[in-house]
Amino acid sequence: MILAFHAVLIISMLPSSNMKKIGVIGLGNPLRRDDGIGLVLLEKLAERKHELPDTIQYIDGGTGGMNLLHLLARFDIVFIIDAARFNAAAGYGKFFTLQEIKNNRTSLPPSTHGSNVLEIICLSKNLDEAPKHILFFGVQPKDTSVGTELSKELQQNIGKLVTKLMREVTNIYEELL
Amino acid sequence: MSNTMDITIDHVTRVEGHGNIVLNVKKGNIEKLEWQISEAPRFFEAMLHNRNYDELRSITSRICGICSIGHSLASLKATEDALGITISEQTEFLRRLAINGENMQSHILHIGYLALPDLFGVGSVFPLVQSKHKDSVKKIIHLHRLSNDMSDLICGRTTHPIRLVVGGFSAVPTARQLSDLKKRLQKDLTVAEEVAKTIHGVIDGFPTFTRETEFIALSSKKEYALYDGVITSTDTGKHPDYKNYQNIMKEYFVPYSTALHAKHVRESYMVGALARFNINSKQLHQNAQEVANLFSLKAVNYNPFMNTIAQMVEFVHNIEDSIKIIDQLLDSGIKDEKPQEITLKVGRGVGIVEVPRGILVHDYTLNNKGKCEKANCIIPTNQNHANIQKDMESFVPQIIDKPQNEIELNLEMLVRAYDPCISCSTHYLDVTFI
Repeated sequence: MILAFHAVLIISMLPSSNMKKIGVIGLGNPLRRDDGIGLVLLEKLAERKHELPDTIQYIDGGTGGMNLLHLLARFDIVFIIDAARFNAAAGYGKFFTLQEIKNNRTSLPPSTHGSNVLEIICLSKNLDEAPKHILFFGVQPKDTSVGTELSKELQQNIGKLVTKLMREVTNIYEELL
Repeated sequence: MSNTMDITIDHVTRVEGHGNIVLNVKKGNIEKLEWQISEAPRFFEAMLHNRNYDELRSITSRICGICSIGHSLASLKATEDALGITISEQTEFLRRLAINGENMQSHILHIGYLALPDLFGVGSVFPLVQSKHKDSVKKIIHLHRLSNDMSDLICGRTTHPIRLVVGGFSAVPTARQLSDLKKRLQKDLTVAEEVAKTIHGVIDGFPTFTRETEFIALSSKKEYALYDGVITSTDTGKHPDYKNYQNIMKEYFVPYSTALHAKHVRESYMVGALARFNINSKQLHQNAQEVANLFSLKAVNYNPFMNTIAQMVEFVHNIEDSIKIIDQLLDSGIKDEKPQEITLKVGRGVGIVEVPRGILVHDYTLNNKGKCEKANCIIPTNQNHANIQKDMESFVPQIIDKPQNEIELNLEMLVRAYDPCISCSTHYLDVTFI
């Protein structure tokens, strides 16, 4: 599996300090077409937040980097929504964990430049501050060239992706809590 | 000196933006030595043409992802100067908190992520996490997080603030939030002092190079100047006529750079934390003074590598200053103030603040419809390029007999000491619109 994360989606802080802090973080660059799918789905999810547990908060994580490290430290459970290349049909969305990824980083990146989501998670673990549970929702992109519009394949699938995402987030939320 | 070498560092790493170092030596003679800026110019002043007075701040904030608060404040001061707006005491206090937060964000990023790896002999901060220095890295990340959270609270966002508006704030923090922030600042003052001690333990890694130069920064009778003050030079003293800043900051082109260079009475001058320290060190708060003493840092210091140490001193000062400002805000009570009312008028305004890399100027001319007709921004890194070049010309003969890889490292460290923000500096022109 080849991953190319540029976006993450997390959930947020719960009101009570003894409750688990859950975040959904969307990451992505909306100026690189399908790379921005994480942020599009985050927005759609946030629009329907009344249908989801009200303790979940939604965060635009931008293009990640070191600020993602600070975001991760705030949560016990994190859902990351991102574009991911995994040889599926364009627009297909899949939930997975770090354990399911072959190229899961076990070493730290060589530089602060261009560090990706998996490397930042590795750093977070090395600093002993990573969330206990990190789950990904990856969407296979078609076109990551410069531009602001999603490809037709992704646009057509947004409804299905949001439904799948909401169902899975609800299930996992209930299971983990 | 009998060596021959060709060094091209393309691009220097662990700085913001793209800059190259070129050094050609033939039989011991330096034939070419250039600090080149290759970043594409960005024409921000042109983007301001015909934009409304209340858009200028958000546009210029995007000049920099590190100093977006500083650009916002310089922009607001220029706009308010042009429109004749006087801000409230609460707004000024909150803006001073914002500028402290940004200084802290930027300084700890440079000290910890960009400069410290040189002192520990590694290429990046990441390998340090798996070394015996892990605790130090955790402290640096902890301080970076504090600085980010503080900027987030005051400005509504860590980077590219949204609460800073013409005439005031669109929203203000609560007394409870400020009180919580104060507790964190008080606790983390100790952490900052521990980081300073760690750096002191490896300070021998910095070269002992010195070159006499001019330093320029804001100064104020009231305080260690960041948000407000008078343009001051170590050579020529105070220059209160702020609207004629171009008599001090004389920008010019060099053929090998897309960024403007600047000079005043000498061939070059330096701005930034070391310049501020050299001009205002007596006004540092107590703990910051102690950190300066730890490093035996005394004004006037001519070693550019000590700029990183001056940043560490300022970081501690910023924490102390923020605690003091929060106390003042809490004493007078947080009011839910609306921004000042605005009456459009023709005018020119100049806003000058100290941002992490030095003195920053925004200069706008507005027409009677509140549109920007003319704009100029003087960026700190621009003002340092010539000084970096002159430092290199003085430094290279002192290190020319070292192995080539050491010369490369020393020159990269010299550039990094200035903490340049090259993307900001490539704005090229003082544009006059038709």
